[in-house]
Amino acid sequence: MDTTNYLILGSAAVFAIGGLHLLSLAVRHRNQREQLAMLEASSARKPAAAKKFAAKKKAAKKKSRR
Amino acid sequence: MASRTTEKKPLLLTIIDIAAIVSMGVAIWMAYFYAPRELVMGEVQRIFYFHAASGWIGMAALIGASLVGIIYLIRPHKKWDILAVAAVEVGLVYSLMNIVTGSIWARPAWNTWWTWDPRLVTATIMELTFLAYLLLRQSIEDPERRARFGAIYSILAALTVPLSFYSIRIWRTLHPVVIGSGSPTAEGGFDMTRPMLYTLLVMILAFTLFGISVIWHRVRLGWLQDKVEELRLKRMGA
Repeated sequence: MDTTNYLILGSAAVFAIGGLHLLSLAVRHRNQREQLAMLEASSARKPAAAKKFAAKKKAAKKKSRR
Repeated sequence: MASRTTEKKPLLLTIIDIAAIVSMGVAIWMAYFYAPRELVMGEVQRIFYFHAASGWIGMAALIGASLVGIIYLIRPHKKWDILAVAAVEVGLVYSLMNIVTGSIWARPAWNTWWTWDPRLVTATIMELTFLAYLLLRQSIEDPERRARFGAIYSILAALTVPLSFYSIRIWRTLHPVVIGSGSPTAEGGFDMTRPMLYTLLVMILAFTLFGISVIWHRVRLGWLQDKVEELRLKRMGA
């Protein structure tokens, strides 16, 4: 009985399932890294904006004293 | 925790990755070129090495997930939850591989893609039960509650693993008993020549190394997801 076709089909299933899982891991890893970088960048921007606001307030106070 | 997500790949993981790739290469070569052609079933019997090895790593990962669930309930820590999710995901992928290759092998061997045989049914129940674990987690927002419920569920779901493993010994089934086929309760067995046995052992070793490597990579992804979720919640709270 020639069952080579079933061997090819089975091998394709093994490599497809294993390969797709590895690919999905890589894609999810990349997406999470991008999101982490974006979130970290936006939270780093926030303290800078707060500093700017505080400096403006100080300058306004000085002006009003004069 | 930041160090867990941004740290470089550990040396041990790199070693396991290399060992997994090399051993998998050797195992694939043995399955296709070293192992002899089986006389009755012909070339399709070579699927058996992938089928048995993926079944082993699938079941081991799912049992591992439930053991980690027990540890989480005793000592609740995020790391156990992340490890449990990784083990379940990998267990599901390799169990699916086991079911699909089994179905393809069944077509020329039993003349059908699917039959309601106890082993096939219990393996599918196991797969669906652990798939429900991932769905359950998706439905719970609170991370601590999610981890606790997940741990309890995985312990209960683990009962399907021995049920699937012993199904071929408990009930009359078409599926041959590979491990312990000399047992008087075994319905059907099959004898392997030495090259076949060596190929199976190398394949099991390769799949074990590959499974450990993939679980570890999934754990690293889990820490990253946790960090992103934490930052998002902080942002929403601010």
